[in-house]
Amino acid sequence: MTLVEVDYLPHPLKHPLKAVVLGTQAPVGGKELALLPILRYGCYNDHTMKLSREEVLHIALLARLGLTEAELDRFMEQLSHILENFEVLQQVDTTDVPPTAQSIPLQNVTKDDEVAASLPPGQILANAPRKEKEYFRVKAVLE
Amino acid sequence: MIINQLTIHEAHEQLKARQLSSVELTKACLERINQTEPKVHALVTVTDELALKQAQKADQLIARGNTHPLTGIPVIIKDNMCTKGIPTTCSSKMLQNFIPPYDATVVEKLNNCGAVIMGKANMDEFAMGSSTEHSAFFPTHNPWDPSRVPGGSSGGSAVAVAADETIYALGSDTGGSIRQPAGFCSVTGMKPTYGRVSRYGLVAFASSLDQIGPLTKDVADCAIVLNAIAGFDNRDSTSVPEPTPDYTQYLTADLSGLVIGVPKEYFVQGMQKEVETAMQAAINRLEELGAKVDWEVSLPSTPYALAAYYIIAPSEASANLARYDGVKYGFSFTDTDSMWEALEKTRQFGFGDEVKRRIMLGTHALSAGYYDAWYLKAQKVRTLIRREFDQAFEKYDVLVTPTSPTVPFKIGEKLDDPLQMYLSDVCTLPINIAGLPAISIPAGFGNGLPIGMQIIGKPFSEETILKVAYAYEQATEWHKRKPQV
Repeated sequence: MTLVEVDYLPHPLKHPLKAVVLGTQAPVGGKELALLPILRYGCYNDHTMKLSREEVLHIALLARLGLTEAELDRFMEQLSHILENFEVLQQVDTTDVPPTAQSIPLQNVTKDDEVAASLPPGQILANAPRKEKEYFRVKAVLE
Repeated sequence: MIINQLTIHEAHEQLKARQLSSVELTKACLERINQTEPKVHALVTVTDELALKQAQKADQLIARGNTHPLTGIPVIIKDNMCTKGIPTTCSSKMLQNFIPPYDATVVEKLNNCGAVIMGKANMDEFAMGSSTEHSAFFPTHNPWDPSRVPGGSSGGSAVAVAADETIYALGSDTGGSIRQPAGFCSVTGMKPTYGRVSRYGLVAFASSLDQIGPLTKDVADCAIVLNAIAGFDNRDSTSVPEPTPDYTQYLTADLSGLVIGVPKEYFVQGMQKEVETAMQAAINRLEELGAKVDWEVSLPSTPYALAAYYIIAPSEASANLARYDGVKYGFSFTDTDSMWEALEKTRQFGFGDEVKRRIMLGTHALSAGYYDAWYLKAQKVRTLIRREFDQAFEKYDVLVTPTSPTVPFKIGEKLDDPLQMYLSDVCTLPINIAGLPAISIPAGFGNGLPIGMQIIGKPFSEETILKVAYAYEQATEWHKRKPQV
C-alpha cells in the first residue's frame, strides 16, 4: 500500500481538504464500471452541486451498485437536482453547534457476557443463496 | 353491524361477552380482503390458514378467561417486520424469498397477547417512499379514490385499516411513514418516541430515525396497541428503559389547562387551501375543548429539516443496506466467476430505483471530501431542530400541525420527480429528526379526500398526545366515515 499526497481543487463548500489516497482501488471485476482512483476530489464542476458522470460512477463504485448507461444518466440528473436544492443547508449558521447522531440520552449500552440460546446453523443457512455443509458459499475472493 | 368494521375495543367487548368469536371476526376480515384486495392491493402476503389457527387458539384462550384486549383480534403487519416462517419481503426483489427464522419483538409481543396475524402489508421498498408506488411488486391504491396514492411507506398498513380488511395494523415510521399514510387514508397512526418500541426484527432503514407504531381505527385502539408493543427490550440497544404507563388511562375529553402551540413554519408554501382551512377549524375545535392555543410559535430551522433529513436518512440507509451482498440471504446474482461483479449485479437487479437513489445520495454524503459539508452539517442542523423543539416544549404541552401539506396525490404524479415526492413528508420528518412522538388523526376532508392533523409531544409523552387526539376525536365524526370500496 502506497501513501500518495494529492492536491485538490478548491472545495465548493469552502472546507479545506487534506487527505491521502491509500493505494489504488480494490479490484473490480464488472465490465460496466471503469477503473477509478479511490479519491477524486478534483472532479468538481465549477463550484456547483451538480454531479459529473465520473462522480456518479465513483459513488456507484463505493456503493458497489452496478448501473446501466440509462440509470447513470438518470441518476446524474436527479441526484444533482436534489443536491442543488439541499444547498440551503450551507446557509445555516452551525458555529459551535455539536452534531447529533441520535436523539436519546443513551450511551455505550452493553450487555452482560452471558451464554444464551442462538439459532441453529440450519436455520441461519436456510435463506443462503449458496451454501456448502455449514458454510455460506462465496465466489473466490483471491484470484 | 359489519363485523370487520369493529374497533379493537368494540370487538374485544363482544369477544369477552362471547357474542362473537375470533374465528368469526377473522373470517369476516378474510372475506373483506378477498373482496377489496383486487381494488386496493394493500397486502403482499395473506396468511389465512395461520390466521384461522390463531383465531381458534384465541377462542380457547378467551373461553379460559383470557381478557387481554388484543386476544383474538386480527392484525396486519408491515412487511419489514420479521415474522418467523412467514415471508418478509420489504416489498423488494432483494428479499422476495426471505423467510425470517425469528420474530421481531413487536410480533412476539402481539403473539403473546393471542393476536391473529392475517398477513403482511405492501410498502415502499425498504420503507423508502411516500406513496407505496416504490413497492417492487405493485402500487397500493387509496380506498377513498383508487386513482390516488395511499401515502407511504406504510401505505399497505393504512389501507388495510381504512378498508376494514383488518381491525388494526403495525407500520414503521422513519420520516412520516406511519403518519402521512394515516392522514391520507383517514385512520389514526402514531410514531412513538424513538426508543419507546423495540426495533429488534425491524429491517433497518435509517437506524437513528426508524420507529414502529400502530395504525388503528380510533385513538382508544392506538393506546391499546401502544400498551402492547411499548417497552424496554435488551435486544435493541436503542430501546429506552423508561417506564411505560397504561396509555388507555389518559383518554379524557377535557383539555382545560392544556397549552397548544401551532408552529407557523408548518403552514408552508404550496400547502393546499383545503388543508389549511381544515387545520384552522380543527385547532379552533381544540380551543373550544378547553385548550389554550398559541398560533404564533416559531421553529425557525424547520425549512432546513427536509434537506437535513434527506442527507441523514440516506446516509444511514447506505450503511444499513450494505448488508445485501447476495451471500447470507436475499437475491443473489450468480452467473459470473467474479466476486465483485456478483456483488454489483446482485445490488443492481435486487434494488429498485428509489433505493438506489438513496444509497447513492447517502454514499456521496458520507464519502471522503463530502462528509463535513453534507453529513456533519446535516447532523449539526439536526441539533438545532431538536433544540428548538425542546425550547418550544418548555412553553407548550403539544404542538399541532397538518400531517401533510396536501391531500392524497394522483398515482404516478410524483414518481419521476423524487424531490417533489420528498416534499410530501415535509411536516412529518422534523419529528423523526428530533426523535419525538407524534400522532396523525382524521381532521377533515377536502373534495372528499382525507386530511390529517398531526399532534407532536415531548419525548416519552405519548399519553399527552393521545389525550389531545382522543378529546378531538370524541368531539368530531371524521374517524367514523368509511370509504366506498
